[in-house]
Amino acid sequence: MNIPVINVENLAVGFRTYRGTVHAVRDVSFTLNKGEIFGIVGESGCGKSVTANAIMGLLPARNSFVASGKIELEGFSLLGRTKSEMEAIRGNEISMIFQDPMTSLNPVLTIGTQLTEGLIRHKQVSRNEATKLAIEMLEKLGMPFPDKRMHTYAHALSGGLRQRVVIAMALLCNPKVLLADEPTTALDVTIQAQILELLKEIREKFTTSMVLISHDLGIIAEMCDRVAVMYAGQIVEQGLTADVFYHPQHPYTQGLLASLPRLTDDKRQELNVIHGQPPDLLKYPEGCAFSPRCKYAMKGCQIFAPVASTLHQNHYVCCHLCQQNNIQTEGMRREASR
Amino acid sequence: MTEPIIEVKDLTKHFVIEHNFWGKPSVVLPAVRKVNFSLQPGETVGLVGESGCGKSTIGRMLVGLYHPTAGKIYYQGQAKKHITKQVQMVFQDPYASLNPRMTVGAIIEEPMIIHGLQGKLAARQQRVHELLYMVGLKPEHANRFPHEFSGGQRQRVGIARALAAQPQVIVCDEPISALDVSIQAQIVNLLSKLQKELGLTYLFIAHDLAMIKYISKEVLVMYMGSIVESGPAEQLYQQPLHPYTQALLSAIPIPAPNQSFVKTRVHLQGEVPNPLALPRGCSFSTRCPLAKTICHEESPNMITKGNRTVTCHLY
Repeated sequence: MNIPVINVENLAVGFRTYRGTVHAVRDVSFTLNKGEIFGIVGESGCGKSVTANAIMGLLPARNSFVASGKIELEGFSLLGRTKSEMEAIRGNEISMIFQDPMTSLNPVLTIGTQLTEGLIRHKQVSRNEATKLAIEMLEKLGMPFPDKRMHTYAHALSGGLRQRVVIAMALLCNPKVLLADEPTTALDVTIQAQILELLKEIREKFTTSMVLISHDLGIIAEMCDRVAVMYAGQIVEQGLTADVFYHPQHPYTQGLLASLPRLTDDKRQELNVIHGQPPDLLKYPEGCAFSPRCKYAMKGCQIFAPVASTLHQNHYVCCHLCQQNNIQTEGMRREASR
Repeated sequence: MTEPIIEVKDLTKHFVIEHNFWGKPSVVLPAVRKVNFSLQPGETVGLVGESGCGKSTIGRMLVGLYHPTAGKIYYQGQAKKHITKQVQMVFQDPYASLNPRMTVGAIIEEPMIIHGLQGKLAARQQRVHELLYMVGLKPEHANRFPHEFSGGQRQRVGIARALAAQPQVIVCDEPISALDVSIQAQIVNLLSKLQKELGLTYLFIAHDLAMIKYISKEVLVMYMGSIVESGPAEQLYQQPLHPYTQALLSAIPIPAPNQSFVKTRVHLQGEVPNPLALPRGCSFSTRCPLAKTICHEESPNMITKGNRTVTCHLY
């Protein structure tokens, strides 16, 4: 078996706040294979972006910490690297597309300066060479008049074009991994369709592996090969996109999918609702974090946290319902550890 | 057909961007251009379009927050000029639309004071508790501040505030787009429940086409300040007439993997044009895959087809 491009194991990230520690990511494991698009879907505050920022090494050192786990890029650990080591990797081997193209570009530098910066730094090419490569990349991404755009500033471009610049910037050093954190959330539907199509083409052309983070189940369904559903800092279900969407096993995934109105629905019946609110992660949830909102919750769910169980190949679910003897085994494990 | 509760005729709004030396407008942005539609009592009309197409401007004019440059709004046959208690609004961002220094009770009470409803303090407070109960919150929440609530709960407060003035019509300006998927369904269910109980009329503004189809009976599609297509939701979604509606519908990502072969995608090239320099002829002609010569020269007229209208040269 070949080494996965990205391997995240038991990652836990916390944030220190004046009210206590927020357990933003708890025990997240996934792998990203070569040429694959892996989706992470979940509601706001479930830890999707924190996971991405942890991979990039962009967590603020001031108030956050990686409590445990490992992050590997082709077998090379990314945790505990120095600032300069991370700088050599960031933008070169792993690139990130941020959510809002309105704020992720520097307003006082020209597009050209921002595009060539990474190339000059990482690939030791001359400024002229870098400019040529940047114009070529913009052309590939379907930007009209790329040579003229190099001298303009971000404010002169529309949202869709700015996102193309951000994507071009991320791709210029030919990274192994592209992390796209809600790349189309700030854009309109028709422009979103253009950008998603572009990301698919990039995968074909450059065989880049991607992690696509989104809250939109539709985008995930169209783009991703495999998907992880996150809730309250944990991956509750993970598997091939078709498996997760057509045979959801976790009650949260089922609830999410059922709460969406479909274009194909005819009847106007009441939407299915997941009652309640996501938990406050200031308190580390005892048991299953979803149990207060779960309609199938059992007594044991509030006491014992479920362990990820394999349903069949590559389909993992973190729920007691999917493994009947989980509660027993967990209980025995706790007894043994005492 | 019953008399419409709100009727809008040739509604136009121009924003002045720059004045010249003599204080006369020199750069004008036509945000809404000659829009006509009507709301039937007890029904929901959906208004869709991309950002900057003028949908919120229409909503704000209906409530009275903006004055129309031209055209008229009729409320039950009477020309409506000012803010009235009959037409209220639920705003998009529940984090920004509630005053952080007022308690939830005071926020909900304020419309009653302004419109002189429920004269006595005790009666008003009684009403605040009723409203909180109606939107699924508890009476004791009245003494808390907005920051103590989650997004979904805050939007419930926003709805209670809109209901406080006992309106007939509520303009919902993207009430769910700032909320999470599982919370969106809760708010939409609440809005439909209230509509049934109180016989409210909604103008529901959103960019989520699936949600619009679910909630509305009639749908209006806007592009660059004018309504390009309108009609009953079922028909409009099944057989969109205007090329823009077709593109908009086919661009929605559908949460059903490996099914994309079912639909044929209409790909729109290019970007939304600058509203300050609208193209000649049809404003959609620069991006339209079916544009003909006439589209670049003359702006199309509205054509009525049964209970639907479309503004396009193709028909």
